[in-house]
Amino acid sequence: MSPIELRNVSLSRNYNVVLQNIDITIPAGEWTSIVGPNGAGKSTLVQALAGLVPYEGSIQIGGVELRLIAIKARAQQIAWLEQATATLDSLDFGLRVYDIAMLGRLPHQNWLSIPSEEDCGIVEHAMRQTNVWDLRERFFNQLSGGERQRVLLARLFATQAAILLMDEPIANLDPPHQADWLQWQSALSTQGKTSITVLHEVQLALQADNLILLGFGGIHYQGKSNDPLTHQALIDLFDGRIELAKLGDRWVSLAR
Amino acid sequence: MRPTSFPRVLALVLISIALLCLGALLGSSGIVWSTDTAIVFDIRLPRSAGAWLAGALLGLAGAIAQGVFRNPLADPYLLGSASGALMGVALVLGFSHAISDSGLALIGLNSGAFIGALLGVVAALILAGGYRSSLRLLLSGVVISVILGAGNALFTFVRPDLYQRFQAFMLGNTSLLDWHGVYLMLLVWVACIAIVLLLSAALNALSLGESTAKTLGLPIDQMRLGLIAVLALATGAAVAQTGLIAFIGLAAPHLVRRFASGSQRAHLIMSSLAGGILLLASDLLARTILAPLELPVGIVTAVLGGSYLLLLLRRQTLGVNP
Repeated sequence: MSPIELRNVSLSRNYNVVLQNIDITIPAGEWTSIVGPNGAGKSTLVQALAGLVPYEGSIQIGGVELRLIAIKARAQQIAWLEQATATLDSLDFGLRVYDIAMLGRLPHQNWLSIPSEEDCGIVEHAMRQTNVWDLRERFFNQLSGGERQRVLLARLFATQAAILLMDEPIANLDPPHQADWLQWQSALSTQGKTSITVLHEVQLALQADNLILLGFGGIHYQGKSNDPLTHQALIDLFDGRIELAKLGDRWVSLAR
Repeated sequence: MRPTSFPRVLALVLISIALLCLGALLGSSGIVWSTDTAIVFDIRLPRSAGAWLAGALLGLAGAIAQGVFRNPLADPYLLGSASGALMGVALVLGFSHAISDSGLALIGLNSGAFIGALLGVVAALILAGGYRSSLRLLLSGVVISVILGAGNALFTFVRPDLYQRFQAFMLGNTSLLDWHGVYLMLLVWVACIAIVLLLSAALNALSLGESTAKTLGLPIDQMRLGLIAVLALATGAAVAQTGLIAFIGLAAPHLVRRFASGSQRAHLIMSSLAGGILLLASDLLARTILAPLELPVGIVTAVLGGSYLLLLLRRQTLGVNP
């Protein structure tokens, strides 16, 4: 169990600096949500943690520099779920749902990538968890957006990585499955997984343990999600266009 | 590969063997057991085996192209590999006044075709600025094909004496196949299948998109380059023996996609077997339609394959509909 530490990190995309000289500490074994306006660099930050975007500065996971971890070891340790809109078009080939979920085991397989009994058990468990086991023989490209997203989440969980990065994981899910997703999040926390999510749904982001608020060019605020200071920072981040209210024992946000 | 794939692969192998036997027995005057074993073993058998192998190489190349470029319309002739191979053949023919020895000529033609195919692919890669963008790569492949096609036309214009020999390559022809060519293609086919089996995990990973594939712990870029090299090798070997044969590389992967149950490894092997069956069956057709006159097989595959492509486009089943 080791935290993720970003020190003096700068990220650019297409030669434009997106985030400059940021410092973040993401606690291990907790759920951290990244919130911010469109174009603030939320996805870029998560992709940098997944090893997809080169970075300047230092990102350390348990004291080891991210860029020095071998890709296979990195894949076993860190799993990344792409933003849903990006994956839909590229998937025009006839993979079945089960085979998609099995791809999550690729980092653990040898060079012939033949699934073991253990792989099959893990994949079945992950698919049952996200409620797609009954779809396993269907073709992936024939599923609805929400069903696909649940299959891709099963793929993510099947990696059994200690660090799970999810870029807008619930954008396509209906309300009952959004509620399910919240349960999966708490299950991940009890398993000691570190999960980092990019969320536009502020009230769901508020269910996380920690919030990282990204403004343009840098960190706006980071703190515990139940801290009043974090709430004030969140309202400031969106220029006072949202308000927060307590409903039962949790916080909800409303547009104003 | 799933257990359900094995009987299907076996079925394709059995069809191939049946067609090979038919090819050995089928003469210009119908199915006759020729008492002259030389005709069976030195002419019909190498021709049938060679046609099967060339088709198998093209089917494999097509499956690789469709998997690597995530495009159901990709085939070996995109990427400039086939026209590059033909250019290589043309250059070797043009400069080989001295080489008349058949073994040396064979090696010369094959090396020329392979180098040409590889250069065609590399030129397309450079023009596209890398292999990251599938669309740009396909477009630059088309541009390379047009330019090299013009070069090939120019060659037949300046060397009219070689026009007839070169014409055989342009049309696609299996009647010149001998055992040397068969052994060579067999060697290349076995090597390509072995390499592809090792690299097919990359194709599975790529079905989740490039970025996710890179987070699955495989050296995706290197594996993809390896697959492109296999594509060039398979195309070059086939073109050097039989010339330009259309649509096998496009049709074979489509025909078997629904049988492969989504496994890339099963799909690659089945595409290769289906390509062999398609080309051998077309060759048998080419020998019998106007018997005793023989059509160049490229004409048969172009007509059959073209009609099939038209059907595919009208039914819009270029993805997968089981």
